[in-house]
Amino acid sequence: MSADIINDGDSKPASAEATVSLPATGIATVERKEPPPEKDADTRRRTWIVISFWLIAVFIGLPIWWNTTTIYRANLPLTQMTDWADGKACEPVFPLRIALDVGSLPEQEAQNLLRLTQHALDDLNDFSGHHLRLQLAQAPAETITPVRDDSNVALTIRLAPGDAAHTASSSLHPHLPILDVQYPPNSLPTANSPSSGLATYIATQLGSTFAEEQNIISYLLETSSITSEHKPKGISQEVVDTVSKRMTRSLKYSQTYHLTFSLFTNGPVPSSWDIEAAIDEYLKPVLDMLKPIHDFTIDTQVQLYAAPGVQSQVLGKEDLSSFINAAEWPLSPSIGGAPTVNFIVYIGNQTIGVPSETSPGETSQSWMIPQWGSVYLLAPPAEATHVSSETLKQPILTFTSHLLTLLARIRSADLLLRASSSLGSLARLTLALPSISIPSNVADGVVKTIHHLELACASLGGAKSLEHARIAEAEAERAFFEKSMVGQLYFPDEHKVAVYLPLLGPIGVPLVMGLLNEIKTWKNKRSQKLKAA
Amino acid sequence: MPKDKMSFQATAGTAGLFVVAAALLQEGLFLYNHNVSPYDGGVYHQAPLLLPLFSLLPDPSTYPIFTYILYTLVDLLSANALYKIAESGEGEKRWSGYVVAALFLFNPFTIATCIGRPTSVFTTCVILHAVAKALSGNIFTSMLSLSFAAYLSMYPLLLLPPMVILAYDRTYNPKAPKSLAQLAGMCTLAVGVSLSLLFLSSYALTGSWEFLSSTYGIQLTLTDLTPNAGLWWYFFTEMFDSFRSFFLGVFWLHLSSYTPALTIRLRQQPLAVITLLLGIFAIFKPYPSIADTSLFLSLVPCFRHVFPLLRYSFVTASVVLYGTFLGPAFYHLWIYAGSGNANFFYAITLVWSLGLSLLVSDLAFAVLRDEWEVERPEMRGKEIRQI
Repeated sequence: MSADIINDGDSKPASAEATVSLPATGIATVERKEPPPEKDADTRRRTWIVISFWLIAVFIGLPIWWNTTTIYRANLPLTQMTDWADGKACEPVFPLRIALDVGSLPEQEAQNLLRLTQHALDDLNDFSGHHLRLQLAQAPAETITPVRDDSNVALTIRLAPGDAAHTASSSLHPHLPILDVQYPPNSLPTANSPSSGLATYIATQLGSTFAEEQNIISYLLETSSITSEHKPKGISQEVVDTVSKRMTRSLKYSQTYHLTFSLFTNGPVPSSWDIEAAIDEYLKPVLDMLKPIHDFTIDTQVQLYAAPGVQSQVLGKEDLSSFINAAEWPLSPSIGGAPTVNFIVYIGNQTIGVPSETSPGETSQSWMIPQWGSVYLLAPPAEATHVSSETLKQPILTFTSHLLTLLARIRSADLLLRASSSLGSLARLTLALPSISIPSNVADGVVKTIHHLELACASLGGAKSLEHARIAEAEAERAFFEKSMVGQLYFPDEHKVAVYLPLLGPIGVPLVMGLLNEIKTWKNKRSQKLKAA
Repeated sequence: MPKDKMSFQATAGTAGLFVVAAALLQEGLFLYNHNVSPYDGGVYHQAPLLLPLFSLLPDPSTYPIFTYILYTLVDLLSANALYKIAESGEGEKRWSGYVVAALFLFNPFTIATCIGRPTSVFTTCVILHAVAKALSGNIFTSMLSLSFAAYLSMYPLLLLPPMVILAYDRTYNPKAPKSLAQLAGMCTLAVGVSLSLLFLSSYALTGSWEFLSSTYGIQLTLTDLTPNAGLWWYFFTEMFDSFRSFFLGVFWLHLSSYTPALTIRLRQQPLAVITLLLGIFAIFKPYPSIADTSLFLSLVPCFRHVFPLLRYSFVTASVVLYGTFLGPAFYHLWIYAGSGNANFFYAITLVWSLGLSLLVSDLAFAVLRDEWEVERPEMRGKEIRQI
């Protein structure tokens, strides 16, 4: 709009003049008439217009551009983060305290036995991450409650003198963390003996009791990205396979799980069940035990005329995976954010033909679906319309054992490693993408994660540690999956050209051309002035 | 609000959707009358001072006639202002004020707007009155009207510079001692004071400053991406989140950058500047509607003398009609019938905007040519070329 409209000069008087002058001079030069020179006022006005556009662009446009596209990068403790990811910040040591309840043994002998057994234990165990430490029990073992108390004792060994003719024998208490050891009185070590049969025996027993736990920790450290001298050497492939199979079955860690109990029947009856009473009686104790680690919400449903995915009378092994009729059964994948564990009681006439051999825990009536839940086939009850609490006892107990399998047990180590590796990924991401913005809440999350990781690491093995590890993991996940950052992950710098050019091209060209023209005019004028002077 | 689409739908009898404009006001009014903040519902984005005005009216669902009368009155007041504007013009080649007012009142866009009962008719009314008062030399009434317009819709604030010049040209003869800068300062002060009074009374009315972000914040940040006849919504649905605020700045800057340049270029014809700016706003505003178009079109007949200089009047008329008829149809196909998609509707809004921008640029050309012909009367009717 700033361009002026000027007469092109195709005006008749001028050309008429030209034709008139032709015969007079005889030279055939019809000159194109130049437009009349612009008035000074017009030129000045155009300058003002160009200046007004440029003032807006420079004094409002540039600050807007600067403010809105500056990438805010909060400072992240990068070295600390990589240290955690590489396992340099924390030695994953799980000291387990074993109390030795020697009963009536005199102090001197007890100390001696303790020393020798610890020695034997240390010899037996070459993995420093998992450490058993013996101590003498302060109180009689009976008073130790199964719930972990302040002393943090993982296991109590109760020594009792037995028959002299027999060798030592041991048995685990069915409910309490107590290992009862019967020993022949003559096997007690003497004051100066370098080794003792009893001590070695206890050490071996302890070793086998904690072998599984040790394997899992070894596996976790092995598979994690940690490169540390604490990494256990040489766990056998067999162990890796067993543990990894178990790990893939279990659900991803979450603070809350939804347990859904569903009763599906293939006909109109039974239409009611005593699920509440059954859960209270058979499942509640286990849930209470797990309370420090997880919260559970429970809901139940009954669905009549539910056709399973497989209709055959006897279910083969391959039928089990398609038994769940995902299309028709109302098993919502998740309620809220937390993962759902499904437990299904199906009442029908179907049975499982091939009891699974690989997992002996499963009965011929039930099977577990990894990371999902489990199914129990129940024959139609005698009382046709109602399923009593007693009938549900076996299913619920089966579900309980399945639930424990589904929830992996070694949590603090797992969470710790996961949080550390999230930190490592975040640190690598930050270094790899210099143009990604890092909001301040991400930095807060990282600081919190590191703080809780430190606390968790300091108290590994205890309940506190689990809590800290839990917070650390949640914070690390939140920081890593920050919404505004995820969007920028795949935004290379070349895209910016595509964003700016279509807009700034059409606007910028007239702006720049206008400015150049103005500068040219100004220079011309100046040189003319100089010439005149 | 896609008011043009809506109104035409209603006239076509397809859906009552177009009552939304009135319904949104109803929502705010209901909340206000029940002592709840009118902005809590998240759909009312109008200035708070409109609420006591509407709560004075009897319940529109039982006595709709009062609301109709109010909107008719507002339109008549606008026509009255237009009459004064048209009558103040000079020269032999012009339409009388009655013709201009009638062209406004019987413009299908105006009628559709009135049926839709949007609050933008108030903005239209006060802008026209600001112009009329500036023309008659009542500078402070004019500035008060402009403050009301800015209070209602914010963007009329950009009309301040040409309005000041218009008032200056009409009030003082070139030999008057008062300088333009002095008058501009006074006018800015007047607008500032009246705006702050309006804001303070709004604050007293609603009890919080929340209305600022709910009315002007919505326009500035474009949080509501409901499809409308404008160009913004589609652009910002496709925008990368990290560039959103930058392009909001760019779009607003683009809208406001026309004011100084046009004011400088058409210093001699401030009314033309106002008209052209209103046309530009009708195209590039964040939430344009046919109310803005009808306001622009209402001032165009005041330039009857440059009509012979328009070069693309046929093309412009065809494109605008094309957009007018196909726009509602495409909107219906996308939103109701589901047989089109967003691109489908956006394409027709582009055509609509193209038609309006053709009209704006053609009018600007004609006004410039006219200015030039006044300067060089011997060139009247000659072919010209822009260099």
